[in-house]
Amino acid sequence: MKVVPEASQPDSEGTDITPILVAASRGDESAWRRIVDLYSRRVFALAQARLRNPEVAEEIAQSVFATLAAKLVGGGYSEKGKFEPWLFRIASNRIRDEQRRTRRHAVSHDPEILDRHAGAEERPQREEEQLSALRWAMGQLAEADREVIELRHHGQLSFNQLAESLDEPLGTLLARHHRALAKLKSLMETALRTRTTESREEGRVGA
Amino acid sequence: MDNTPTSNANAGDNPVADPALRELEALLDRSAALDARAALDLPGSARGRSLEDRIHASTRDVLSETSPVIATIGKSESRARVWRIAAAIGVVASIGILYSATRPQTVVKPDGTGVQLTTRTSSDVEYVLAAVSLLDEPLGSGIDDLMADATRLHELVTSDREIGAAQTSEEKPAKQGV
Repeated sequence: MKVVPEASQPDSEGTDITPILVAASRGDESAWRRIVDLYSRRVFALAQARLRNPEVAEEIAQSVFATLAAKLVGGGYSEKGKFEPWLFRIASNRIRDEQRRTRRHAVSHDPEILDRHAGAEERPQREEEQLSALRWAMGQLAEADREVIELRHHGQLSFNQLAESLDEPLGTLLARHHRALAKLKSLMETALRTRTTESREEGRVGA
Repeated sequence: MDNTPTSNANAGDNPVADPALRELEALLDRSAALDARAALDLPGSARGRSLEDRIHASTRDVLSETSPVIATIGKSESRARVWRIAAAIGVVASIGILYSATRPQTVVKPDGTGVQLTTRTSSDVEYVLAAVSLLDEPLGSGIDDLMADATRLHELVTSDREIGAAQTSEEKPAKQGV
């Protein structure tokens, strides 16, 4: 493996991942478990956000980690200090491949899917409506805008890591992220307004 | 270990100043946390109860392989594909050159009295076969069969040409005589 020990690379939680990567590349199972613990939920969340199917999202996460393990022991990882951008680039590519393969699109306002989230019934109705509108709005965003937001919030990458992962200058990336958030907000407001109008009309019809 | 995202760990580097957008970011973090918790919980499953258990169980064998399965399959498959393409190109090229090297050529004589069939030596063919034999090493015995076929084809085409040449030579004077 070509991990450079002196290239310290704290992850999003401040853990220096390099010694863990070095140990895992030598077959240390506890180090590998640590890597799985640190990143598998984030990779899963990214896949789930896009595919809206926990089984497929888990398959994607497993395949990403199988690739990661093979590359670690086989010397395929050579990016110094850029582990997270590299990992999430693999994950993003795998998710995109899966989307192309199945032509599955997120139907983010589907109530059945929303109910699959833990504790859906316990959340206040207003928050539930907001989350529903948010998922619908995410589905309306352009691919590039959506990717920035999901890598930032589901993948939990820092802006520097995002810039590395997407191969863009930091300034451009920050502007892109801000623009994407503004678009998302506008789409969400439209969705919430439409729903309010619809429920009023339903109320009138019922009366 | 539960590494579920509950709030954005990178909040410190967040340059978003607009309160409305910050609120939206908080909602996105909640949505991300819900997505992360959507992993199926399988109590009592042999593959492991949590997502982390299952991913660890399904990937640790790959880590213990000295020659990773995925990497090995990937490399050998792509190399074999390259050689298959090279062999296909070699076969097509050798048949094409073999044909052009052995087919009868008609040449108009300078005096314009008629045509003459020219013959070519088999040196061109040998050259092609020698070039194709460069593929012998990676393809193994397959290229030997290929060369044997090519030689047979060469003999067949050569014998046809001679018959054809004899017939044409006999026919030409007769026609001219008429």
